[in-house]
Amino acid sequence: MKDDELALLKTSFRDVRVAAGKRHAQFCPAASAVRFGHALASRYSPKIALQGPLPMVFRRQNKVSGQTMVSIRQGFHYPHWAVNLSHNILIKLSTAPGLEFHFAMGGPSAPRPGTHSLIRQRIVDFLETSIRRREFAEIPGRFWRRRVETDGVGGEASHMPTQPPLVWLTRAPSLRQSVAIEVPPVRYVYRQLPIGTARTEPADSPAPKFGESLRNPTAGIAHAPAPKDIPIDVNRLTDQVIQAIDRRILAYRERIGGV
Amino acid sequence: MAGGVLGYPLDLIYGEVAFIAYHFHWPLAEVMALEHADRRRWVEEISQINDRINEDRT
Repeated sequence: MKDDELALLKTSFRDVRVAAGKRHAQFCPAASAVRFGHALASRYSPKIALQGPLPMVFRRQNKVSGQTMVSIRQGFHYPHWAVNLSHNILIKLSTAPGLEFHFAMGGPSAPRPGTHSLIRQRIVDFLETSIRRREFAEIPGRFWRRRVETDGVGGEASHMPTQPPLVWLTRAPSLRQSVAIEVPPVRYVYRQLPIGTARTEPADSPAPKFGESLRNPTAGIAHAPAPKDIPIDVNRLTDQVIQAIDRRILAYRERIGGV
Repeated sequence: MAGGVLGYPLDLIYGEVAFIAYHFHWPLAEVMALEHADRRRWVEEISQINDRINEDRT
């Protein structure tokens, strides 16, 4: 698989978290992992971690089966019985509060050179397998999923790894037609018009109809707001009118040869 | 295919695209090409700008 084919989904996570896992963590149901796979496979998941969770609609047989807010973080799983860290993707769903879904991307040891490409390929395999087979028992390698119960904080530890955050690239399938559901929209704030600029019309005056301004050119002027607070210099206007009259008289006399 | 995801709500897309295009005058193609997260982020930024303007006027 070519790199340019993988570049459709770019996971560029901002912060690296440390999650304290449990020794006997349970495996999460396949349905949750399926959701995760499809969520990652969508076009709009790559930058979730940068701007917070996004609304996602789960569909089953072209019917909405659920909706949730999904947030994804890159992290490192720190098992109690091991010293080295292993790479993880942490998934939080608003429909499953208090739970984090950990997807281990590597072994318990530190990543060796070339591991990033291997992780990337495993993610691609995971997505393809999850979408095609809808199950995860046959996923090769040490790519598994695990559910870790948390106390709402996410099991964060104070220790932070020194490795730079990874950037995973994978392939995304075609985006399906979305459906209209109730998800929290972003905040819309419009600019308020300053006082005095709002168009004010008398209540008893009818609004001009379509085409009326063509028949009566002054119809639109009658509804135009009158300018306020504009200083008018009467003397200056008088001088301008007199000068215009003088010019016209002079031009008339020139035409008749009276000058 | 069972158990699938996903779709971003269309009505939200229309609203967000119109909001950005109204304020930034970006071409439709460019706004539509934005990732969903980026588009929502720009909407939020515009709203913050309008918030500040509205506060200054009041």
